[in-house]
Amino acid sequence: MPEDQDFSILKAMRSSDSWDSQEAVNYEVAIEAVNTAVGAFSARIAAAERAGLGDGGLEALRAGAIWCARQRRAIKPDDHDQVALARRYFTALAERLREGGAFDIDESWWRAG
Amino acid sequence: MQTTAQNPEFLAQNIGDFRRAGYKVSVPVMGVPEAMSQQGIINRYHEQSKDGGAGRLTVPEKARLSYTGILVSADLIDSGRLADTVAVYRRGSSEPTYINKLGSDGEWVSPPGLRTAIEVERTRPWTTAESRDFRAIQDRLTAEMGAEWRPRISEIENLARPFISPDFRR
Repeated sequence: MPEDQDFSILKAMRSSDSWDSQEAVNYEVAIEAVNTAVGAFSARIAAAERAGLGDGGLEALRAGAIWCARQRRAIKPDDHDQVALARRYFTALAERLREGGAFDIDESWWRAG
Repeated sequence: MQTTAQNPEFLAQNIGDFRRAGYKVSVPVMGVPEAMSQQGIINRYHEQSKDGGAGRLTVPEKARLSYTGILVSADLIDSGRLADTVAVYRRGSSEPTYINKLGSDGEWVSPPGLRTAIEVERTRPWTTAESRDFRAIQDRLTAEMGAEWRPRISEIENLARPFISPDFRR
């Protein structure tokens, strides 16, 4: 079948043409970890709005949610190290947010050891 | 957007809404055998549980609705000429096994066969690589998940039996 430009986004996500089920699941788990972090930010934003938190605090929370969404787009299914790091970092970030803790964004999460 | 097909009429309505709003709509469909699909559901749950102590487990009834619903959706898309382009992808490949598009006259360029293309992918014999891949995950899930999961893993094994390469059959 010829490649069709309508589906070029699927091609663009990958540097190779073949992948396996475990790779697909690992990627999905990484994406859902980011989604969970975005959801945790949303819960904190809603709580902050109810509590009448100042604009500064709300702004930081909103920026955190947007930052997570940007990171999600950057994750490549066939970059196994990045996928593994994303799973660890965003799972931990969501946990910290749910516990009401600080949420310092680590811009270099994908380089963490 | 990414979605399941639990409600084909709703999905068709959604696609139509996008087109009426001026979007060009391309529909890539995953043609995945039921055993691989079911294995993916519990593998995802298992991996998420390892990461954070809990996971998202698709309700079997909803998975079943999606699995059958995509065929009805395919019929609706084909007969209603709802999408500009449709394609079926095999898990493990970035190349479609089926592709069709509407021509300038509003008719499908090739005879419409989206449902058939999905069914072909679901019922074909698995390649050696796919069989090995399935076996490795199946064995790992059996070893790592609790005894309460054994019936579900056995069901998946039964679903795979007609299609998996004999070398990897249990």
